[in-house]
Amino acid sequence: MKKWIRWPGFIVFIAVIVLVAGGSYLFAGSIVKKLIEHSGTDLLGARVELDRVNLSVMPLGFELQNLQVTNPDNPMQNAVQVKRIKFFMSAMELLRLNVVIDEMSVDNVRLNTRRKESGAVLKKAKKAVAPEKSQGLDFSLPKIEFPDVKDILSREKLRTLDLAQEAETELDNARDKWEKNINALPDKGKFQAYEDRIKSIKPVKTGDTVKDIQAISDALGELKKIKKDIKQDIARIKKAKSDLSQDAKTLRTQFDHLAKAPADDYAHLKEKYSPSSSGALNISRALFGNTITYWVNVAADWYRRLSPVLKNAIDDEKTQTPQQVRHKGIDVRFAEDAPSPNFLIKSAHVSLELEVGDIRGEINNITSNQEVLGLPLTFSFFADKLKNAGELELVGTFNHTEPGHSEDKISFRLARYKVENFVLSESDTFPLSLKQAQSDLQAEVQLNENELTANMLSAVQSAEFVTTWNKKPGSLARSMENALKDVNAFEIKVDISGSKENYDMDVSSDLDEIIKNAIGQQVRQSIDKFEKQLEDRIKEKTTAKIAELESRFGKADQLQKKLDKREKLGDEQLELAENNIDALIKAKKNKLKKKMDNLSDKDQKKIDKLKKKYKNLFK
Amino acid sequence: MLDSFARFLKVLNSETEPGQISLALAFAMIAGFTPLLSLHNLLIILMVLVLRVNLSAFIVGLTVFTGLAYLLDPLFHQAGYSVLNNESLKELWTSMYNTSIWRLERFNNTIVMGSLLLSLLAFIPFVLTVNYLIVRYRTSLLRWVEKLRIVKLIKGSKFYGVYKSLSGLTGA
Repeated sequence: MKKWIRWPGFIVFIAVIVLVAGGSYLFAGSIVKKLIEHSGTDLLGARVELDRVNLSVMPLGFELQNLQVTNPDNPMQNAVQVKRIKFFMSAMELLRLNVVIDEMSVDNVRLNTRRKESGAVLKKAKKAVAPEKSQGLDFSLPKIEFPDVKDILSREKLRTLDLAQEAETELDNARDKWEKNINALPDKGKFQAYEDRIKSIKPVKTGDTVKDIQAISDALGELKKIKKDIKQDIARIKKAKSDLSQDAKTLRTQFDHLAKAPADDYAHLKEKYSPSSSGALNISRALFGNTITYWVNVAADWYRRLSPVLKNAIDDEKTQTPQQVRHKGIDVRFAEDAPSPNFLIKSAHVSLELEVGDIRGEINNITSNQEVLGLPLTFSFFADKLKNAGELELVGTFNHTEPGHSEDKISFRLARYKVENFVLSESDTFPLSLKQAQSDLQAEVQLNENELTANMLSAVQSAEFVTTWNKKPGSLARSMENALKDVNAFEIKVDISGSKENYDMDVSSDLDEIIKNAIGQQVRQSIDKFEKQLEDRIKEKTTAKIAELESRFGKADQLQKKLDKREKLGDEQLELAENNIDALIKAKKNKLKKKMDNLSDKDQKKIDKLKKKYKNLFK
Repeated sequence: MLDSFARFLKVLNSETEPGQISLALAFAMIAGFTPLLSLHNLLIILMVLVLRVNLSAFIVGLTVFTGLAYLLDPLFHQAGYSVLNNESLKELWTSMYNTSIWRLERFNNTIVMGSLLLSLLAFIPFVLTVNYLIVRYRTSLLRWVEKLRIVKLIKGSKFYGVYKSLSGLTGA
């Protein structure tokens, strides 16, 4: 046994363990300090520094002194400086490789403090996306400059001219068609030929009553045939008249549309190019839009910075692929009796020392994995002794507990915020400042997954606007200045909706109505002038064409008259034929009567017999 | 390192018990294949120090097996992944996962599990094989090796100087 055991080795082992444990205790502070500084610097791309880290064993915890996080965009400034961060950790959870901090205190947080030396690093591992800066407090007077009417009409296609072109084509087609149709109809010559034929039909008198009657019957037959032909011709003419009338009706409808088209063109172009008085005077957006956009971007940037904290670690693991395991492998997770996220700060008490005053707050459930914890991150900050304001309250919830669904809510209230010399516009055309005012501000922001809705209301009182002209103001600017001088209180409403990346912002204020009333008259006059010009030019461009087409359309009446005339000729010939027929029938009847009167009884019987036989002949 | 290797050769060529060398190399295999800062390696260190195994063989073996581990990582990962995702063992792993000491051991990591499992499985066969090889080396191969021209050349080198000086110090 002794051959295989060397007891001094056990002593050496114990000595090594004690040495390692002692060394860890002694150097743990330095190790943690270096760890925080290196990983923080890598993450931010700007230097993160700590003065000192103290370790306490019972209970297990750390105290970080003077944490300085350099602003990556301004290396001579700290974005955040914290005098002391103290926290205690659960040793049992640490054995499970989970960092669970029951309580943390973050004292004396200051923002934007000056650095003694630059905190820039040569290589920026990850550069935080800076918020879009406000594009300066520029301001344009309501736009009352109108585009040139000639330019508009050379650029825009008038519907009237298109309709005129269509109408002209239709008219040409109709004209060609009717010229052909009318040429094919019976004309004066044909009717004259009928007349000649009618007049030429005269039964030849032989003296023999029976032969004369037969001649009259033959003539009647011929006349009836001519009458039938004339009737057919008249029917053709009538049909053509009806068709022509229908075509004329269709063309008339087209011309009616054409007559209305210039008014429609005017309405369309007016809508497109003429600024309505209300649209031109969204003064609230012009004055406050940039400032609001800037603060919205600041809020979005802070949310972006906080996003990694809220990002679900489990989701990350699910997306890991076996190619990522080289020398590290994958930690396979199993069901836990008491699930705990890898990182959790149950409660953090924060005190901020800002220029505006001290703000205290509490943040709960800071974790990289809310899904495992089952509780959302909540925070509340409060201040009541601010330099330029009454109370400040900021309350929020970031709920990412359900997989695939997140719901973040922030509510902000700032009472009696005093505004002094707040520049609203640096524009030469209207340099406006708010010399003093007091504002009550309320805002609610909600983000469901990527759907953003936010509304803000600022009630401003005791407002005093001032303008500092560098050059002589225009009449419009002067009117606005005078209107704003009388404004003492107003409200600004902001509604935001859309996605985080692409949202619509609607800014409205009762200042809009005040300014609109003040300068509306001047703007209205300019608009009227522009609209009159536009209307006149459209008329000028379309009237001649329409008149020409109307004139050509009027010629359709002549066709109608032509057809009427032909129908009349037909009617005359028909009448002539009918008169002749009547006359022949009468003559025939007379002849027959005379013959009948002179007949013997024997003949009478023969006639009756013949009548029966040839009854058709005597009709 | 040169010293350690020279010491190892000296031990190999000496009358040291083959079991002490093979056991040292087997412990080195576990410590070298698995991530060094693992809880089980504390136990390996304790055993290396308390059991009378050859320390030079352990140091040389640790160096060699650590290098080999880099090449065998994909194999360890695959083995660990298969074992940890085996349905029939799930209950065992779940129970271990809920125990702090095993969590500290990081048994649920595919590399830790794969490398530890494979090196434990290879432990006894490895000891027996190395034992046999040492005996064979000493009985037949050693004399034949010493006659080789290359060995004679080595004997004239700096390395051999170190080796000799160590032999002189220990009187071997």
